[in-house]
Amino acid sequence: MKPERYYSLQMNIHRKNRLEEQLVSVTDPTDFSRTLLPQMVEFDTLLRCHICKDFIKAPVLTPCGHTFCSLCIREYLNREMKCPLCLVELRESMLRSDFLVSEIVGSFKSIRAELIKFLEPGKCPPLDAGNQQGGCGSPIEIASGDPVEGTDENEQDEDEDDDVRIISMSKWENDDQQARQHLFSSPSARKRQRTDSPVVSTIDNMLVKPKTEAKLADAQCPICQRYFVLDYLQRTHLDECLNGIAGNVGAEEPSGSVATRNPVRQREPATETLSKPQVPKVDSEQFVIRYLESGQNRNFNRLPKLNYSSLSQSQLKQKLLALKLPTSGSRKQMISRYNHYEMLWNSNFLDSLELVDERELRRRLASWESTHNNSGSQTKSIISTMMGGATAKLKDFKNDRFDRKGWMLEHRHEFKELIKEARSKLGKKEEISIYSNHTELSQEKSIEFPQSQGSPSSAQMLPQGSQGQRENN
Amino acid sequence: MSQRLAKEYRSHEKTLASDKSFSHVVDLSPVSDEDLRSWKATIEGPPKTPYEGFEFQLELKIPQRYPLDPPQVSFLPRSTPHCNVDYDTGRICLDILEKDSWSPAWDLLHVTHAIWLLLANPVPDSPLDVDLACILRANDTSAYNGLVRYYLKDESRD
Repeated sequence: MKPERYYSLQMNIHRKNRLEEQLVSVTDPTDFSRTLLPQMVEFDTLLRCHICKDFIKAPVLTPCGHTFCSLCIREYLNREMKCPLCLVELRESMLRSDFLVSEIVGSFKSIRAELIKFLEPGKCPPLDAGNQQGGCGSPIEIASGDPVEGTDENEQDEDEDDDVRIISMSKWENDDQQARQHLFSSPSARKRQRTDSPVVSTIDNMLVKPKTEAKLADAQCPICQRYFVLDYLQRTHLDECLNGIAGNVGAEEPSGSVATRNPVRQREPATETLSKPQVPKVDSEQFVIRYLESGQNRNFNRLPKLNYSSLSQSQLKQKLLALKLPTSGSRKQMISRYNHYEMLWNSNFLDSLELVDERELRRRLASWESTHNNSGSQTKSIISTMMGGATAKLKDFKNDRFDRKGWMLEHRHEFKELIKEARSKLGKKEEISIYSNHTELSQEKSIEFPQSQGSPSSAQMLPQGSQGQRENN
Repeated sequence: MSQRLAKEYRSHEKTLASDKSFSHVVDLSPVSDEDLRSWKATIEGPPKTPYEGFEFQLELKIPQRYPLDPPQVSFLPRSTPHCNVDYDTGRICLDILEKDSWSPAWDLLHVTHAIWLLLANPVPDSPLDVDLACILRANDTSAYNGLVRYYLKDESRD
C-alpha cells in the first residue's frame, strides 16, 4: 500500500470516528422502533421540540396550542412573529410556561435509557413459573385482553371484562416488576416478594380496588393518594394537602379533621412500589414535587425588551454593565448581545424549573457569542487589541490570501525578541540540568534548591550533604 | 445547532432505510463526515412526469443560524430544466426556502420532499426559466414536456 493511500485511509477512519463520537450522545425517537414497544416512537416524538428536535427544555405553550423549548421559540420569534408549526401570528409575550410538560419530559428522560434496555427484543427476562405466558410475550399482547390463565388469587375474584383488562395490566406490571427485580436484585429477594410480600398485594389492591371505591363517589387526592368524597376533596382537602406538602414533604397526615368524616385509606405504599422499579425513588418523587412547587420561588423579574432606537450608546452600555455584560464591539453586537441575554434570562428564570445562576447565564452568552455574534469583526477586534492595530492585514488571517511573508517581514523584530526569549529560557534549563548532573561543581546551586523547596526534611538533609561535599573538597 | 444536524443525520438515515413513502429520495447525507454544514441529496424524477427515469442531484448548504434560517438548496448547474429552476445555476424558486416562509419545524428531508413535489407541479407564476413558464402559461403541456425531455436527454448524452 502506498504511504499516501494509507494516510488517507487513516484520515477517513479518523473522520468516521469523529462523527460517530458526535452521534453517540444523540438520541432519536427511532431508538424505540426496534424494541418490543415500537409505539413508543410516537410518544418520544411528542416530547421533542420541533425546532431543536431534542427533548423540550423549559417548555412554553403558545396560544395556538403548540409547545416548544423556551429558548428555541424566543430566538425564532425574535426574527419571525409566527408559530413555526401553524404559521399563526405569535408574540413573545403570549408564551406561557408549561411546567407539567417540563416534568413529564424530565421524568421520561430519566427512565428512557432503562426503558429501551428493558424493551430490547430477545433480552426478555424469564417469567416466573406461576405466570408463564410461553416465553417472550410482549406486554402489549398481554394487555390487549388475552385470556388470563394462572392468575393470582386476588385477580380471580374479578370477572368483568374491564377488570380482566386491568388485571392483565396488573399482571403485566407484576411480571414486569419481577422482571425488573430480576435485573436489580438477588433471586432470594424475588422469591420473598412473590410469596407474601406487601409489594405484590399493594399493587393488586391498587389496581383492583378503585372500582369498589368509585361506588362511594370517592375520588383520589392526586397529592396524598388517599380517597375522599369528591366534594370535600375539591373544596378543602386539596388546599390543605398542598399546604401540608409545601411545608413538609414527608407529612403523613396533612389534615387531621378529615378522618372524622371520611374513612381514610392509606395509598402511599402503593405508589411507591409502582415507581420504584423504574427509577430510584428519590428521582420519581422529585419531578412530582418540583411540579407542585413550581409556582413558588419565582421572585425573578422578566428582563424587559429595550427600545434601542431611543437609547444612546452610553445608555446601552449602562444597561449591559448593570447586567455585568461586556460592552465591547459595535452597537449592533451590543444589541444582539442584550437580545440573546434577555432570551436566556427569561427562558431560565420564567420557564425553567432547573434554574441556573446569572454567572452560568453569562457563560452561556459568551459561548453563544463565540459562534454567532462575531460576524467576522468581533474576532478581528480581539486580535487587533492584542496585537495593537493592523486589523486590515489580519482580515484573511486564516485564508490562503493572507500575506505571510509580508507579515513576517513587518514583525521580524517581535519574532526575534520572542526567539531570543525562548532561547534564553532554554539555556537556563540546560544550565540547571548540568548543575544537577555535576553537583560537586556548583555548591551554591545545590544549596539553592532545597531552600526553594522549603520542606523541613530537605533542610535537615542540607547541612549533612554540604558537609560531605566540603569533606570531599 | 450542530446537535440538531446530528439528530437529523441519524433520523434521516433511519427514515430513508425504513419508510417507503420517502422512496423517491435516493440519498440524503452530508458531503463529508467532517462537516455537517454541507449536504447532498439525490431524488428520483416523479412518475408520470417528463422527469421520470432520471435522477437529480441537490446541494444543500446549511447556514450558521439553521434551523432559524432556511437551508440553501440548489440543483447541480445545467441539470434540471424546470420553470422554477434557473437552468444555468441550478437555483430553485420555492417559497419555503425563503426566510419569510421558512419554518424551523421543517428539516432537510421535508425540503427535499418539497423540491420533489415542485418537480411534479411547476408553478409558472413565479418563474426562473421564463421560456418554459411561457409555454406552460399557454397551456401547452405537451410542448413543455417535450422540451424538458429534450433537455434531459441532451444532458444525459454528455
